[in-house]
Amino acid sequence: MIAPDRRTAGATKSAPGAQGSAPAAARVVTAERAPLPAKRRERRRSSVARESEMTELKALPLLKDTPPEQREQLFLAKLQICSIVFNFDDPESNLKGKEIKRMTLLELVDFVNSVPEQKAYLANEALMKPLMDMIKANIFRTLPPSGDDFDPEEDEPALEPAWPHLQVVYELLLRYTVCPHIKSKVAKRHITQKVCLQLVELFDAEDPRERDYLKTVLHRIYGKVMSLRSFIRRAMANVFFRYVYETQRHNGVGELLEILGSIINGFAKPLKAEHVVFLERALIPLHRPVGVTAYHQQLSYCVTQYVEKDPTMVAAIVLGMIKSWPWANSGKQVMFLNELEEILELVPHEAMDKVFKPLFRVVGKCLGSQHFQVAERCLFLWNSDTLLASGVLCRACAPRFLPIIWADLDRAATAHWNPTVSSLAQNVIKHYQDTDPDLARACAKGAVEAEAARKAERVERDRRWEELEAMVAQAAVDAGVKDLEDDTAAGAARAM
Amino acid sequence: MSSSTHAAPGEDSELVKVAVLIDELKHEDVQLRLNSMRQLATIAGALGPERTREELLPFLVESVDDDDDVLRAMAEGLGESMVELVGGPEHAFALLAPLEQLATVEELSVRDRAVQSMSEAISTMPEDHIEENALPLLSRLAERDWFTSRIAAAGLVASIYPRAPDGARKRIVTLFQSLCTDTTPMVRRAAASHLAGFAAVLPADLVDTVALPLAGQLSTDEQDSVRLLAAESFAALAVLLPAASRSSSTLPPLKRLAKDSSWRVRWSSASQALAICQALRGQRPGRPTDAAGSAAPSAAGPAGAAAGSSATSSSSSSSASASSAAAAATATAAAGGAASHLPPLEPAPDADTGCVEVGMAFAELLGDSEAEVRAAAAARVSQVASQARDATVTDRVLERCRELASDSFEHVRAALAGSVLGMAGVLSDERCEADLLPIALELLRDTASQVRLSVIERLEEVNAVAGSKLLTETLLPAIVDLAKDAQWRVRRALLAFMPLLARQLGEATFSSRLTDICIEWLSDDVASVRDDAASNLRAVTDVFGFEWAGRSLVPRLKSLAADPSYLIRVTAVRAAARLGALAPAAPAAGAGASAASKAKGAASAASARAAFVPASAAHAALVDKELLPLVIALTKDAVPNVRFNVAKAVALLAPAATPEKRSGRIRDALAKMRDDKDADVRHFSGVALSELKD
Amino acid sequence: MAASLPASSSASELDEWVAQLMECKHLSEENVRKLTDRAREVFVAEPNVQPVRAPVTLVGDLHGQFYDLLELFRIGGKPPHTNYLFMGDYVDRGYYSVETVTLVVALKVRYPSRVTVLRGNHESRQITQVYGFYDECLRKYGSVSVWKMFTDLFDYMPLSALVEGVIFCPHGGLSPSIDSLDAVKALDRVQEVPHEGPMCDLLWSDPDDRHGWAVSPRGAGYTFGRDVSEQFNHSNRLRLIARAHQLVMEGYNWAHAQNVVTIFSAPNYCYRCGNKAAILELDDALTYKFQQYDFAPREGEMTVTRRTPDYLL
Repeated sequence: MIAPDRRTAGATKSAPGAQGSAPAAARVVTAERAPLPAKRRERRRSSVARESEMTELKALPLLKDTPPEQREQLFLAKLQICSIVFNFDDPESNLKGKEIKRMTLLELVDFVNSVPEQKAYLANEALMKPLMDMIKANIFRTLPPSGDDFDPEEDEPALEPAWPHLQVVYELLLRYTVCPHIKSKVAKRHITQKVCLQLVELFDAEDPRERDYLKTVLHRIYGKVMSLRSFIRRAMANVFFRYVYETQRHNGVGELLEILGSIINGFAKPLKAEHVVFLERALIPLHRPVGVTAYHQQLSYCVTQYVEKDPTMVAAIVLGMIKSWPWANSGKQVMFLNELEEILELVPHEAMDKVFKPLFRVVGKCLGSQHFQVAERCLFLWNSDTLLASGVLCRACAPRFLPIIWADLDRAATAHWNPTVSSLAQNVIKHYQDTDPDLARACAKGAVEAEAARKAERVERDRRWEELEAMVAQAAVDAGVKDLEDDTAAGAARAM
Repeated sequence: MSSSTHAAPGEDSELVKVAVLIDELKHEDVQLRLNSMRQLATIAGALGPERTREELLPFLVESVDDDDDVLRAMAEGLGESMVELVGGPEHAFALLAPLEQLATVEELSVRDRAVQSMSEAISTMPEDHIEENALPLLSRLAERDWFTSRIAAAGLVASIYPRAPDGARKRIVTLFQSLCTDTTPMVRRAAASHLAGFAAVLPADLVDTVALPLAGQLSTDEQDSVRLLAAESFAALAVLLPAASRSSSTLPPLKRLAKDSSWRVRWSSASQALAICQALRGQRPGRPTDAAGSAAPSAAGPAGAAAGSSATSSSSSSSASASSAAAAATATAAAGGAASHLPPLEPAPDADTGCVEVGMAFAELLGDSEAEVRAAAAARVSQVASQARDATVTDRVLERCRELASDSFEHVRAALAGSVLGMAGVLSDERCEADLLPIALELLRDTASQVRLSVIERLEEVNAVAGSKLLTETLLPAIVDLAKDAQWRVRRALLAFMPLLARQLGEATFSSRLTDICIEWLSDDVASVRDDAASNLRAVTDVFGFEWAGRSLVPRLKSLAADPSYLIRVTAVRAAARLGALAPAAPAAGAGASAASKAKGAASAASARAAFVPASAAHAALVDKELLPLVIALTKDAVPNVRFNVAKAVALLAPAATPEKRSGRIRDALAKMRDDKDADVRHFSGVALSELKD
Repeated sequence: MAASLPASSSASELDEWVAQLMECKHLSEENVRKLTDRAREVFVAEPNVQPVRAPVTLVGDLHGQFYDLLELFRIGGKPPHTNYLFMGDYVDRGYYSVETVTLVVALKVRYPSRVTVLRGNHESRQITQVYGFYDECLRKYGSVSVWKMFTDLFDYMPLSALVEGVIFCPHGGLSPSIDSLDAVKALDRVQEVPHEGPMCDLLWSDPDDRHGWAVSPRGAGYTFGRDVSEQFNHSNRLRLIARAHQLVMEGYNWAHAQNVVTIFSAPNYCYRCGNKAAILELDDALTYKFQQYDFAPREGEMTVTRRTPDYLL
């Protein structure tokens, strides 16, 4: 009867002790945050459909034991064996056949790998189509349903039961894509747009091992076949669109972004318009889904790559983040603040001129948050030497941003329920009172006036709405009276 | 202040006010912008039509770079109700400009709402404005670079086409065709989900020459998310086709889709099989008739399993098909949702052979390799079988059902359990007994309670066919076993079945086999079983009469009223109250199986002064002599919960008691409890006393 | 007649709220304000150790699993027919903290002598900001005011209950700084749950197999051994300490040679733990019966909540 609550809490036991100076609050939070046990999930089915009735498989002689002139024929026969797809739903079925296929696959990989000239087998035009057909027969399939309650952050992924075969097939595909003997012109004939599309679709696989192979394979293809590049980017963008705007579920956004990270890294400067559109349409909106935590690191990397290529990109990124700022998800707000700081540190404050005001309105709202972690994280911005020296928090900018955030900062300092937040906010206020007392005084005065103005405005607004509603109501009554008069007039007319 | 508002506002002050309100639509506080946007009609009303068109709408066109919430409010505000405010249909086109902007934003819900509002506006527009405004709008949307506007275009065709001049119609068709081959899958999905709605407004010959080929083309799309939407459109297209070609046009693609490599598509064709059969039989699918009516819930139903775990597919279809609520509404109307105003559908001449074909393809799906597909098909076995009306299909389906009864996936068995008993309707009595009952019995013994539960809930259907002999010999032992089922929901489901069994079995058999069980349920561990058991006594009494209740139930109730546990004593009090309460008169208490719930309704309705069946002599005697004394004895119970239940019980029993009792013992008991030391006892006896007065 | 029933109008308003909440529809902000104002008056009059009469049914952590609270009522009976002692942790983790805590509080206000409501460690500002209640309020009401109303109310909830003088019920457990019930009664409880000290311990501590007191791995409160429980029960003439606070797979768990029992009432905790839930029914004569129950069937709960975009307010 051990409570998992405690077991996991016990695991983190040393952590709070280690940082003896950490406030009790932080310790409480870490201990309670210990991960929960993974959910019990139904055994997942293999994504591979039932095999059709098959004849008994017989193992073939080894390639290396066969005279070279017969090898091509044998290689083909082996590909034939490997094209048979087995049912892994039932782990007991057809064990012998499964083993023969697995050994054959391993032999093929080994064969093309071991001796350099045997790699040429992959470049053999006569073998290439059968080889690709075998690969397609194995890996191109509709992924099985994944439970609706699958939470990629918390749950163990369901592993692919057919992996013993799939892995070797992927390995072979990978060998194929990296084979130096295959020229891109030739590869293009077999690795078509359709193949790329199907590979991109497979990124939704729940098994991380499969996604890892896909990532490497697709990346290689991207590198090798120039003419497919824009198609692949478009296919990825379509996956993102569907994910962001329709389903909000996809297992492989992170892996796709990893590929993109290095693609973006290779973009030439200045950025092409097409790539900027990609940033704006496909990448920035990826901030919106609740599941962003799963791939935030990769997304953040892509976005930073853009900023490093071209600092003017920062405005669009920050605006995009502001537009989908997760006001009702405090954990995500903290994450956004992290990303924001990282991006802002990359650019001089001038790059922010266009979005200065909306940016600091968000900062102000975060400072004024009742949530202690959001307010705290926001106050930590003032710990960034870069931001204070040359970034948006620099001295030259203070007269522009301080008036926007003063009221919230002051409220955090004086009225926040959490003592850590108040004292951090007090420090920031004190910093400005010490370094620029005139500005601080002006801001304080301005904040009081603004508050009074807001109150007056509120009263005025309510009054105006009331008047307006009365006006509309009166108009309706008048119209009603008029209708009635019209009716009477019409009635009178008829009567005459 | 109110007087100032009533004073006729001067032209200037009014101008200022409205200007300020428009200002508020760009206030820096989102919440304020949102509030104002929600008052769009008020603002427009104040501005009057001319200024709304000349100032407000252009301003809105400039304001589409805002929060999604604000934009959604704007899209809503610019719907049908705004037409009058801009000056009526003559000016409705003015609404299109801001809506066009909204229809292209990224957030789906904003786009959907904007397209809906556009359709509403277009439906009011005069003909010449369609050509001048709506058509160019449609072309612009369909040709724009960014895919969201092309999705909006797909959502608009169905509302523009029927109102467009003949000369322009061909262009709309071409435009829709190009959307079906768009390079962006999202657009093809939108087109696929609007295809049926578009087809519904096409002339009959174009359904055949345009819509069908498009459906065929989409059903071979490289994306399975498109193919599955195409599968859904065939059934909707079928009802638009002439009877003669209905099956030859729709069956081949449907059969192909049933063998699709993607389980999502097969899943969708399993759900479409029924609709296609109905179309062939000349019924409009989706009409809430016998079979179709239960088809809808079971699609989402089978323990949520089929629909739930395939959320990827169902959500894709729902989100895509939501792309235009207006167009979807047209589609539903056309596809039969509002079948009432549609002409009756002529059955296809080859309906019989067609349904057999569908039935056989469907039977294959029952044996699909993917559990979700099997579950989707299993949930519809009886409906498809009853459409097919063919021995070969029935045999094949039954054979598959036998396999599915031991399927390794619980939700597949649960889906089967919720539907297979309906097969009784298409089977002879002998086959029912020989083929169907064994499946039912196996499912009743299933390890998963959800499966047992689903069968019990449908037992009535067998009962309707099977004679009482079958019931006593085959089912009764299983039912007696299930009365002690570890899962309380199973026990409770059986309870609901008791009044029906009482009628079927007669007093002798019921008393010897089931009365004890009915009483034992009163001291069940689970409160809701006890509660239903309390209501059940009356439901069974309605079958066997009050003398029987006095003989068989009351002595047992008395001992429960002295139980050491207050929860059981409370149950005894409530059972006594419901047993003796008057039955409501109005809807003649039919011999429905839900008598238990009706009795419960009677209990609560007692306070609502409805018309009641007056108590028979036996009824009144039981109340006077047995039930009231039993209940009133507990006014001195140590536990307040028992005492306030006594107060409630007395109020229920009073109308059935003789007048002397009513003014005597009952009033005394309540009056005493009115001074109880417990606040809740005082409260409920007060309520009871006031009811007694009326 | 109306004069003799002074509370009836407010009773009917409360009945309406309860009925609305039973359908999992949260109250308007204005009604939450009214409710919490009235609840504060009820709680402020209760001592730190709230006396409770048997029969009563004891309930452990609920954690926003509203549909399981309804299931609990199906198993144990609806208030007021069954008396309940809720031992804290109404909010966080589950998707319906707002509905759950509002219903529990509304039942308390409607039937103050049938329902007892204690404070758990999650009834705190800090914890609710990390584990979900705060965000949920923001999502459902568009502002933090409802969160503020409730967390302000939490400060007033009693810290423990005493059933028939012999069963002591804190949310968590004992405290090294407390050796008698009188010491509990003397605490000044109206404040945010502190990070240490006796009030914190009552809400955070756990029983443990080791003897004596030890620092809790949770970072707050302590663990206490069988010797501690026996000593405390003996010197306070108690028969049992009944508490919540820990996930136990069977829904209940005896410890310390039946000196302590843990009750946990959120089945399949966090929608993933696969545990049973339980309640403890205490009869008129203090005979007890544990009632276990499973995760209740629900419709579309996950899908609906999963999809709620968090950037919309």
